Amino acid sequence: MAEKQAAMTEAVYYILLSLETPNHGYGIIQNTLKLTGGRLELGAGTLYGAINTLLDRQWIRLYSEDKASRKKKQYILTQEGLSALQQEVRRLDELVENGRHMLAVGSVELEVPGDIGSLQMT
Amino acid sequence: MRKFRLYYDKEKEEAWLNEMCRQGWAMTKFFLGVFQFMPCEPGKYTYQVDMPGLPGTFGMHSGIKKEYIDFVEATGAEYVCSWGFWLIFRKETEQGDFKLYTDKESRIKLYRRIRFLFLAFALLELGLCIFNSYNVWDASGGFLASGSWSFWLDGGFLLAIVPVAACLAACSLFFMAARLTRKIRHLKQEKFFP
Repeated sequence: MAEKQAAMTEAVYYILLSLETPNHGYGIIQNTLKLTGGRLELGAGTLYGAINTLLDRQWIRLYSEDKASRKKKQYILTQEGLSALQQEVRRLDELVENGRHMLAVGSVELEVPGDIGSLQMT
Repeated sequence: MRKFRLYYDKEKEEAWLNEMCRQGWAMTKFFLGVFQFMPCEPGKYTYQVDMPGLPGTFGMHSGIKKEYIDFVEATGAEYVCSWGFWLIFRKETEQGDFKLYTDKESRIKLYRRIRFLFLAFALLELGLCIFNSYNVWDASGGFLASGSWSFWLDGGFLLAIVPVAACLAACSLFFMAARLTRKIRHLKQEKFFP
């Protein structure tokens, strides 16, 4: 896998998070809703496209296929998917760490570009 | 109730179907521009028009299509009907929001699929237009060249309807493809500068 991995979309990130244990499409939607407190509801079309992309990349694999049930296919994370997820979490950690650091240094005081008009006058 | 409409814009079609449903008419079937409606509780359903990116050559292999329909239905939606590459789904409004595509990336991909289809059909229509124009010209050649009225009087001009219609269809498809390009560009801009 490439050292520098492009940032994941929220959909891909939460799909991977939902597939530590075998899960089907509807389960992924439900789990994402739960994890985000109802903020992110994955649409079926979006989810379907992302699952196919992740299968192509071998970040997830088919776990089981139940011909009788409606919720036929279950997927699970692969080793590659897991390390991609770990790399993404490190990247996000860095983002959040830098943000917290900047906001925590004393009280953030923005340098307000005073009265530009008067500045030009002098 | 039946209504005849031709839609080139999936968002407008969705808006119309949802408006019809608000007025108590739920769409149940579609064939060649004819939409069939059944009475329903006003606002019972939310409709979505879809052109899924199914794996494989155009993905219209019936097994894969069926699998996609099952996938969407497992999320609480109901399959209404399909027409060519298009699928129509609905979900009961009381079950919450219904949107098939919830992020910009997947909407960009959806618009690209639709644009590809429109361009393919536009080229087909253009080919039909050129081919038919040539045939009409061939059949009526003498009359047109001599300025004789018989081309108009004996109904020969009716032959020209096919190439003219094909040309108009090609133009509107090209126009819609250009609109989709604008939509895609807009979504990309939003993605980088929200």
